[in-house]
Formats: sequence, structure tokens, C-alpha cells
Amino acid sequence: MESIRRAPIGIIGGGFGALITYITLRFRGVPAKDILIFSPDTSPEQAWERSARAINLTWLRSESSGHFYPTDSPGLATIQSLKTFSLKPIIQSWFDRYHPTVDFLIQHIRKLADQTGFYRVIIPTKITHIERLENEFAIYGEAGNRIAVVQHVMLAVGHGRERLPEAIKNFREKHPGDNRVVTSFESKTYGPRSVLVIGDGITAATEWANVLQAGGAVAAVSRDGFRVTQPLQVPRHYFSRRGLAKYQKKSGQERLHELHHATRGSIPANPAWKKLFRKGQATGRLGLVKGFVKEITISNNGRLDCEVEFTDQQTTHTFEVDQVISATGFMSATTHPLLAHLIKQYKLPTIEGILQVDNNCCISELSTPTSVFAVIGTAAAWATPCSDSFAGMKISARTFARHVIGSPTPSPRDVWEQTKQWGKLVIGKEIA
Amino acid sequence: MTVATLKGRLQTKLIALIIPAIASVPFVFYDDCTAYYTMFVLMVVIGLTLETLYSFLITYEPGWLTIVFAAIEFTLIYSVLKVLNLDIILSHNVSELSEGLSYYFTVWGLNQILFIYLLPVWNISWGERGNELW
Repeated sequence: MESIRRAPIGIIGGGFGALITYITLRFRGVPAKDILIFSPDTSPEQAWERSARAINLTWLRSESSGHFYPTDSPGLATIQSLKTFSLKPIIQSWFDRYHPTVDFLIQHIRKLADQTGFYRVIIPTKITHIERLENEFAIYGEAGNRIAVVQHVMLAVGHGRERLPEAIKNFREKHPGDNRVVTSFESKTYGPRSVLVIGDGITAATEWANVLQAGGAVAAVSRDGFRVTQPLQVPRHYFSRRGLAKYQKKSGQERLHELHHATRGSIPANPAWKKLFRKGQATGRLGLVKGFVKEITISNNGRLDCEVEFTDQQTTHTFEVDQVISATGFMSATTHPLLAHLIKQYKLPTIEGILQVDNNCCISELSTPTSVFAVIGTAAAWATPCSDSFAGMKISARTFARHVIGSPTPSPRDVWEQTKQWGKLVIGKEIA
Repeated sequence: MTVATLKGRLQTKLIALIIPAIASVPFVFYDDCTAYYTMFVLMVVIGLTLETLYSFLITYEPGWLTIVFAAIEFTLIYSVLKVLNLDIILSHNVSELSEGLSYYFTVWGLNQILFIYLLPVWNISWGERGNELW
């Protein structure tokens, strides 16, 4: 029988949230042996990279500060400038025009994971249940057996299930083998075809670009219309106390309304895209429709008939297309089986499917003064609307670190230790 | 990314003013001119006033705007020095553009290193707290 592991900290999940939490704790002086990471993925970028490659994503919406160092400094633009002996990335970052490439970010992630010993603490398993003990948490593996006991838990399970519009679900049930109706993260090809893309976020826009670049035409459909030219996934003031303090004072429906508004799909004003989309609209190859797809059927000539109801006019129009791509993102983290199970068992508060975590990203129903249960990523959206961004994850990770090992002090010794750790990370050395 | 609160702007400015306070000393000795102290006092008054104003005018300060703000601050300080004819009172010529520029932008450059590379390391939540230090 396998022995039960014990450690002060357990991180459930092995993606970006887990990596940021782990690096933050290591930077704050927690030794690697005190942290256990439970994840079926053996590398933090694996799941994200699969999604990024599936939509041919080559650059990120995030800017220079969207990185995995535990501190806000240095930005990726500085790192790239030093690597390439060019000031261009730094100058671009002054104008918020610097966006790292997917390859550069993956390289950065792997390097940091390696330097901090992330790979060495992963326990490659899926967690099915977490039990609150008196002052600890019991962690259960796939076979339902207790595999570890930890004092603090950071739940870093990422998104919930993929959101699938009803029309897509119904079509797939009727035509299970028809791969012309796909979700953005599924395998597909692009060509000079007409495509209906459902969704209004960066994934949808990436699909528009893919189709237009392949010589096709796009009918873009979104129930709420399109918010183009928002640089980051949420407005910038949510990344600091300036916006967060006001948001966190709100409660109930008022807060929910603001959260929905802040996190709704939007498209960044990438200059190349702007040009491509303008040209597409001018030549009739890109049409934006505010509405929703009611039904997808196969027309008499074998193409796909998509019946779209316009949101404002309450009239319908049928688009005949060759392919349908659903780029509607993910459902709330509460649809993740592990979190859903915890909500049910411990009666955790939710509002319209959103977990009502405390402003410090902890779940008070599961925490005690000496044993904390916190969440990171989309599960923490109620606390911080930017929770799904790298900077938002850092807010959760730093708060968690403060709970676990206390606040950093401004003493010269602590400052010197932090500077040393930071220096090592930046120059590529392993941290102790 | 700088999305500072008013409190954060003022606290950070006050901390950053330690640099010109210290930098004034070698400039005074090198040029044998106490007018750098006057310029420092103007930096305090004008700097804090501008930070308060900016806090109401903007939410987010991108890098390019930081450069514009520096140019505005320097122009105001330099103009006040000229208008008040402080160089005559202080018997030297810090209001010569080149001398004023070298002092101001030495200090500004050191401040940028502090803001971009040092404060975020010494106080890792500085940015998310809207640049508030305490």
C-alpha cells in the first residue's frame, strides 16, 4: 500500500495558477519539500499550449508584465531586449505594443519551472476529492484512496467545462460524425470557405483571422455584440487596488453585474488584426452579427444552414455556411468536477454558478485561522475579476503566501534575501 | 503597468524624492551651487501637486505617458526657476537649461530604475496595491 504523503502545502492542479503559486511560495522562502503539486499534466504549459496550437495562436494578448516571475519585474520586454540586444521590445512596451509570442512564453515557463524545481514536486495524479479535517486537508486520488494530508490547499484547477451553445450540442447529437461543426480547441482545417464563428472573445477573433487569412469568409455571431479595442481581458483598473477596492465593496447582484460586465468577451486592438478585419468587412468577407444561433441543420445542397436570431430586432436570418466554429470559451470554474463536488459537500456559497470566495481568494467555509483553503484562476473571479490573467493569479498567489507564511517584512535582511532570489531567477540560476 | 491610487502616487513620489535629495549633494559640490537644493524643493512641491492632479485625470499610466509627465514636470520646474529668477538670488546658474536638464534627468533615470526594477522586488505587492507602500 502506498504511504500517505504529508506536507504543509498542497496545490491541486498543475497549470499556470499552480506554477504561479509555487514560484511565489518558493520566492518567499518556502522550500520545495514543503509543497506537493497534484496534477495529471507533467508540465504547467501543456494544457494551455494544446489550446493555443489548436487555434494557431502565435502571440499573446498579455503585455510585458504578463509573466511568471513572482515579482512584477522584470517585464518580458526587458528579458527579450537583453536576449536580442535590441531596444525594440522595451520601446514597444512603453506604448503597450509589446506582446510576447507563444513560443517565447513557453520557453520562459519551462525555464522558470526548471529553476524552481517545479517538475520535481509534481505527483502525477488526478484529485477527485478533498476532505476538511480538523486542522488539515485530506487529498484523495482517482481510486478514491487518501494519498496525502496537507495543512493548506491552493485549488488551481483552471477553467470549468467548455461552453457549448445549444445549437451545436443539438447538431452534434443528430450528426455525431460531422466534423464541420467544431469547437475552436478541436482539430480543424481552414480554407477558402464560409465559416460561422460563434463567440466574441480573443479565441473567436483568432478564428476570424485564421479563416480570413486562408481566403475564407466569416459570419461572426455573438449574443452581446462585440467589444473591440479592449487591450487586456478585463479593463486595466481591475489589476490594482484602484479598481479592486471599489469592486470588492459591492456584494450580491451589484457585484455580479459588474463581474459579468468586466469579464465579457472582448477583442484587443492588434494593428495587424485591425487591418485584416477592416479589409474583411470592406470586402464583405467579415460580417458581425449581434444575435444567437438557434439551430444548425444540413441544407438540401449539403451545406450548413444556421438560423440566427438577431438580439435587438428579434428577427431571424439563415446563414448558409461550410463550417461552424464555436469559440464561446469556458463555463465557470464551478463546473469543474472537483470544485462542484466541494460546493455540494460543504455547501459553499455560489451566485449564478460563480463561487463566492472571500476577497482574499480564500474559502472561509473551508478555512481555519491556521489551515487555509484558497483558489486561483477563474475560481477566484468573485474576488478579482482579473483572476484568469497572469497578474490576477499573482494576486491570489501572494495572498495565499501571506496566509501561509506571513507578510514579508521590510527588514533589510528580508529585502536582501528577496533581491537575491529575484536575481537568481532573472539570470537563470536555480533557487534554493 | 501602472494603475495607481492617489495614496499610492503620493507615497511613491515621496519615497522617490529621497533620490533627488541625495543626488543634490554631489551636484551642489560639483557646480558649487546651492540652487540645486531650490530645484529639489520645487520638485517636491510641483511633483506632489502633479501626482495629485494626474490621479484625477488618468487611471492608467503607460510608459510613454511617464516620459511626457517627466517633460511636463521639468518644464514647470524650469519655468518657475526662470520666472522667480532664483539663479540670481542664489548667485549661480542652475536655471541654465543644460545644467537643470542633467540634474533632473539623472534623478528621473534613477527613479525609473527604482520604480521598474527595485520597488516591485522589495515590495512584491506594490503594483497590485496601486503603488501604495504602507
